[in-house]
Amino acid sequence: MRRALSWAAVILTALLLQSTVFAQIELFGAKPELAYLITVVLAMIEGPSAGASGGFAAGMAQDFLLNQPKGITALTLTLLGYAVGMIRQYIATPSPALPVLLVTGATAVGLLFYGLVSFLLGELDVGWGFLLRVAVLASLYNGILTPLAYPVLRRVAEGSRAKRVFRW
Amino acid sequence: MAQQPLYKRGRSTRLLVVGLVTASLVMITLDYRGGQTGPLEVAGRATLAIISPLQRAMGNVLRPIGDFFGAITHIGSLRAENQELRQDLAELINQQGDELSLTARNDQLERLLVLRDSLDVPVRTGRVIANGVSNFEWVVTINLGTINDIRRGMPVIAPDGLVGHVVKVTRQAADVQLILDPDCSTCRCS
Repeated sequence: MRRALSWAAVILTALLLQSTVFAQIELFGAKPELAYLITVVLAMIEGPSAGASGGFAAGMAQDFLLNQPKGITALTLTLLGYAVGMIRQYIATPSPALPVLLVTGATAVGLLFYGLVSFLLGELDVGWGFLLRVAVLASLYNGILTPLAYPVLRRVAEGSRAKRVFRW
Repeated sequence: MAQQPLYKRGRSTRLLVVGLVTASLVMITLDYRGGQTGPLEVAGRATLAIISPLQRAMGNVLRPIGDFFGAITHIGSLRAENQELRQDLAELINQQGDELSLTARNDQLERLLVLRDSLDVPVRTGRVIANGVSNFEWVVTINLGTINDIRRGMPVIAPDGLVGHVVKVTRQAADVQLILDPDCSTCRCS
């Protein structure tokens, strides 16, 4: 319960930040996608099922708060969280660049998937070139923000994890 | 969750993901079908009503930071815009100067018109084309001459009154000695 609350607070803060501060600070015209960032990092730290649930919650929150067609971001982030969680289990490298690379790649794939689903629903208002450009720039922006966000999110995850009890 | 055996953990995860994906698809369909009045749209509006005060508060607090970093990333375009605005401003100031002189000229011409209409002697209207070149002679040249029936000694008036008399006439121009000139005695003007 406490875990859910703390992650809910993280998601809310991220969406508020995205719609206020990060609306003004653009990287060549693209804004970051903090919901994607949180989902991927959550999936990396906590595993596929937490990644999927967190992705669903973050996607729902983003769709409702940012007035987008409801459900598409939820779908994208659920699948993204699950995929990243599964992939993470098979990557053994301790390199510190792993979060950055994973966030960048996953954000790009996620945004393209979002574009595809929107297109299939007839909700895509922009051209493919624009979508591609936004996907690349937003994932780069997310990657740049990862070294700042990862320690914070790891602290949240560890702080809310149930303490293990050792019995012997 | 850590106590469950591995195979069960995988299956419950898959179940969870399938459940969440289904929920997402249901939401997409509801929203798609519902349009503006669907239940999700109403929920979205309600959420916005709750969140927007928070957004406003956070925005107020964080706007200086956003402005600072935003200005850094926009510095190129800000400079270009600044340049453009300066040019526009210079043009507008020029235009304003032109307009002021046009308005003044218009006023003067209107007053001349009134004057001409109020006199019942034949009047010729002219313009000053040159000022006197000397410091000691108060003479101006007008653009009327003998082809306009101007003769020596004719009085010259402006809307404010008598200004001088004609002292020299050529075909197309005439010199007018102003009454400012100490050489002119008013009794000579008629």
